[in-house]
Amino acid sequence: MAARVPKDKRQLRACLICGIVQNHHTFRDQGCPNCDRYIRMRGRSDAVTDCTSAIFDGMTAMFQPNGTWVGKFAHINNYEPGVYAAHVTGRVPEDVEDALAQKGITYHPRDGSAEE
Amino acid sequence: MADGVADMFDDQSSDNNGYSSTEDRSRNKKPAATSNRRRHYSDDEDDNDDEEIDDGGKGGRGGHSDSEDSEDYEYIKKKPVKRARKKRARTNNFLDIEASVDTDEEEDEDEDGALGDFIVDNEAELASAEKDALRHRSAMRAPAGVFADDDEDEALDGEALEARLRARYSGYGDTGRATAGAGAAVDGDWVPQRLLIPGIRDPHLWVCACLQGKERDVVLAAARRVFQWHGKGKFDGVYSAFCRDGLSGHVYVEARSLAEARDVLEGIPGVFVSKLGLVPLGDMVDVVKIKARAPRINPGAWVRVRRGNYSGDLAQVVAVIEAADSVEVRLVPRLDYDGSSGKGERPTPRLFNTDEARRSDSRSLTSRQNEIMWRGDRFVGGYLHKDMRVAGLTLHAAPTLDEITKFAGDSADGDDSAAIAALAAAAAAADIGGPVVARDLQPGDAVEVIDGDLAGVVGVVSSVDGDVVRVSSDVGARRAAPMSFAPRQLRKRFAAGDHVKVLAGRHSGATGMVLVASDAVVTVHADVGGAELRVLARDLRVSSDVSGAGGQAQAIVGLDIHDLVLLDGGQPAIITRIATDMLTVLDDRGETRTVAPRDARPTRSNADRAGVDCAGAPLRRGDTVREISGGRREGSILQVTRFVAFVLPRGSETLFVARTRQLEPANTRGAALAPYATRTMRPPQGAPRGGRAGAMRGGRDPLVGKTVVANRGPYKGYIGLVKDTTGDMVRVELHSNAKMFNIGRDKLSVKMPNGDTVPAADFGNTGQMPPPSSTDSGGYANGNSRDRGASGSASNSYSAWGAPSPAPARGGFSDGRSPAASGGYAGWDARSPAASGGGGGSGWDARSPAVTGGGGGNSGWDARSPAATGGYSGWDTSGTASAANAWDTPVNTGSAAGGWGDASTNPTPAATAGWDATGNSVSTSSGWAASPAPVTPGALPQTPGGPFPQTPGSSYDAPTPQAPGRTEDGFFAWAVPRAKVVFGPTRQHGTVTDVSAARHQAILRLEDGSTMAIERSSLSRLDPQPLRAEKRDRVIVIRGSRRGATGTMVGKDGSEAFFQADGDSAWHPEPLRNLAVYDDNNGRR
Repeated sequence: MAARVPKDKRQLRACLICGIVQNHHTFRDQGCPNCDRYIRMRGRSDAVTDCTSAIFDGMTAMFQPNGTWVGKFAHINNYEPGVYAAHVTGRVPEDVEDALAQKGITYHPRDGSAEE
Repeated sequence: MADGVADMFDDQSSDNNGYSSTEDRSRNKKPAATSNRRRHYSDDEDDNDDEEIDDGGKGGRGGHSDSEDSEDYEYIKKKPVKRARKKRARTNNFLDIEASVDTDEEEDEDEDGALGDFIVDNEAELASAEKDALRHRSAMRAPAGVFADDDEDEALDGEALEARLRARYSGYGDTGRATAGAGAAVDGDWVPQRLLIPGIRDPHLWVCACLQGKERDVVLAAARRVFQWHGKGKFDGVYSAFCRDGLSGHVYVEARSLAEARDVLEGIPGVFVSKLGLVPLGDMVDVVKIKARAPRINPGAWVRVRRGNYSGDLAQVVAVIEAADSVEVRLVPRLDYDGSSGKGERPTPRLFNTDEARRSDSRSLTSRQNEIMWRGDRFVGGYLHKDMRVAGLTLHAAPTLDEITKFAGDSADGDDSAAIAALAAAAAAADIGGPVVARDLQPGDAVEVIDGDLAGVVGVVSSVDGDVVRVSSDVGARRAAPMSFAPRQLRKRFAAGDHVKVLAGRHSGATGMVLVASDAVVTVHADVGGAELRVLARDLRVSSDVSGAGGQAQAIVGLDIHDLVLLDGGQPAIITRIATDMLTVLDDRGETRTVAPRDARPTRSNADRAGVDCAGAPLRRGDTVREISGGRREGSILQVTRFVAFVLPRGSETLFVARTRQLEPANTRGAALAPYATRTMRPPQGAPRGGRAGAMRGGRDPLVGKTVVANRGPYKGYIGLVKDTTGDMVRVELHSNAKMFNIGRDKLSVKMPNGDTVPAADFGNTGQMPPPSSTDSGGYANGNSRDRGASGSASNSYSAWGAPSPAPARGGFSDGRSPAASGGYAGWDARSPAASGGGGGSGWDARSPAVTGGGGGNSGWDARSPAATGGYSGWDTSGTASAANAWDTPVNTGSAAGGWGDASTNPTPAATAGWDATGNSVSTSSGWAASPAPVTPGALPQTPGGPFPQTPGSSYDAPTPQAPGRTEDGFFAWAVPRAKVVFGPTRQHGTVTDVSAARHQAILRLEDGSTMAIERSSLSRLDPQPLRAEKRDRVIVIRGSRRGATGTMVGKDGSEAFFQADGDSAWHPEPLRNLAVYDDNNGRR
């Protein structure tokens, strides 16, 4: 579990889809724990750059996805325990978004624009 | 990229975890998953020990693949055992929940998405309606601190429970849809946040202070700690920890108890565990929602480079690399092609020159399509394209059009305005926050909305409040309520033909007419020079100003040509020219200087400054003066300070500076003969304002600076110079040995230049017109004599009052402290010699002349009022002395009756009016007539304590006229309908159409036909003064015995005017200040 916590603060990036915060190399080496089944970033530096952002605001370390109100509020309670960003600046590239939509996945940007 | 994307999606790969398999699986499992999900959602908090439920739940929620599920599953398996207890408790209300929710769910399944959406909305309404109630309740309950076992509480709290369950279920339809479509790992049940209000069963949020900047480290450290200990029985009640960039110095822990929260944080560097507190339930949403304001950059925006070779340079954002915190900008490169630049100096910015580059280093020059690479830098169209980190840029550079023009390069100079326009338009459109800032907008500005839903709407700024600009527009005929916008959403809008003024940039200060108002760049035809200026719309404002000749412009708001300014060291100067960033001034030494605007301090109100001319008379702006020596130049005073006057000669544009003491009124023939005439005959204009102005007006005692000789006392025969005066005491410096001593005014004589000596007590009064029918009772008689001459009872009262006071004490009752000061002041100055002589110092306090003071007091105690009590109104404006005579009469002579009679036979409306103005009412004369008090007037001057020392009893209850606000009363006392006044900072003209002294209100009609009201409160600001009459003007008498009379001013002599009343062939002398221009049309044209 401890592996889910970024080792250091350098090159922290947040996934544009689920918001998980990891080091760039973690994304590259292991992919996004939540999204990698759909968007494979593992081993693809370009994809990591496209689908993650280094500009994010707030860090939420979620320990127990069940029962956390904070996680629920941030819409991360369905994800793996780990460290998540509250807001991630940027959106996934349009083609990625299209591809997600084709699969029926609604992409909710985490840049705060979707909030009511 | 398409390939890359395709690759990214696993369903197209051979990976077994692919999307399609997930879909299959979820489709197969759907019935089970649905039912399970229902269970899962109903007891969201508990983690099912039951594997099947768990699996189904995850299928619904997250759709994790098997491979990861195993890991996840282990994690869940390690969950605490104590959940069983909860589950039991929950069964109590389970049925209710099921019943209430079931219908929703069925509808969902029946009608799929559309209705699901509808329900979400519906529930949103419900939830929000209940939100307050819930919060309220929660807040009350929050301190209880019992959370593990409060199921019973919750069961009791039906509404809260319902709201919570609704919130929990509201995303259900969504989820179903998403699940049906595809794996929901990404989508999840996307419940709108507004429905996710925290409940009392949610873990609590604890806030803890930490070092600023350490928030993320703390969270990460806490996360490591928790994850490390997870499953080992520690931190089971801790759910999350977070920080927000917008909440610096705080970290939050979501935990069941304070102890657990503390355990998590304890020992982490930078955390102050002692400052750990509970976040109220109602604040939780706010805390979680807070977002740091990240500046947004759009392509096209202007930025400035902060550091490095291009430090301070303007750059334009070409592209934003969203994911990284950097942008691609383009710059005018500063290249050193041949190494000619010395160390430390950077090359001038120039567009990239291929030839030079090739000559210098041809090997590193490569090109690819439209890009040129040289020495590792990339150039497009001559510009250097560079990726730069946002942190190294200054956003919102707000470039001037100049800079943009430079940026656009030489090619854009002159004709190629389209390029500039395009650039500027791009800048204005894209540079969010740059184009308009709130301070640039003023109510009344026409604006266009350029951003947001209402883009394109045109309106007028109705108000600006901080960063919120309210714009009212009439979209579609009906006028909508003002809408609020951020300044950045707006752009100033101009139409061709508008007359505008440039506020900033190279053409700052210029004015002109709008020729073309394209998007962001407005072409202006300059008033001066006729050049066409291209200016950014944000730098323009509609203005009727026309900048001065020669391209002069108003460089600084608030400064205008011929304004008086103070240079460094307080040196006064007058502005003679205003250039864009330079002022040309003429200083008090007559030198013309050029100063920066910041070095010239505008003076305060120009209205009431006065100097003193050679005769001691005040000089004011607009007075026509002549030098008494030198070139005897003549002109009108533009500005005056205490010592110097800036004079504009007639028919010339060249100002000259003169010491005020070297000036004399140009139009006073008699000035030379009677040098002191103007001092007394020329009353101060307007009412005193107290303080400095009052002092100045009340005047320097004319005695000061004069050579005097003592004619009594120990210093008899000594000659000295008057240094200072207070009341009746004079401070004299001896000529012989520079010794100072104080001496009574009455013991001094003034040595006049012609060798005569004048008693100091009379000094300043004697020179004026000798009273035509005067007894030789000294100068103080003069003011009254005229009035008396007019009134039939003159002789009677005259004798009465002349007699008793052999030694008139000027200061007697004259000073500002006397209760009548308000109204009385005017009359006082006008006539009473004491006003000048007394200097305000004496009055009741310095009533040493006591009984004799009664003489001086006469005029103060004057009363032309109908009744004896009117004697009090004598305190008021009319300021004539007849009733005062009445005062004296009982004591002195047997002519008391005459005195009283005089008073009563000379009713003066002004007196009563003034009286009213003070707010007191005097019922009748009975008080005075009947009471014995006034019959002992000897006591009167000796009782300095109160304004009305011998208050005669009940008939006079409120004897204290209002001391404050004398300015106000002054105006209301003299204002008469149809009198023209000048007022306001711009000294505009108006006509009094109506005035109520009692209510302190006056209505003015301005020259433009509008009317305005003057009230006591606005008086000091507007400072209305009667419009001074000129020869042959129609005038109305505003003060004195003839108040209200209209006539013609046939001429004037110094400050004395000759007034011919309507229907009267005779001329009467009347102080100029008593006259105001009369408006026959009553303000109408």
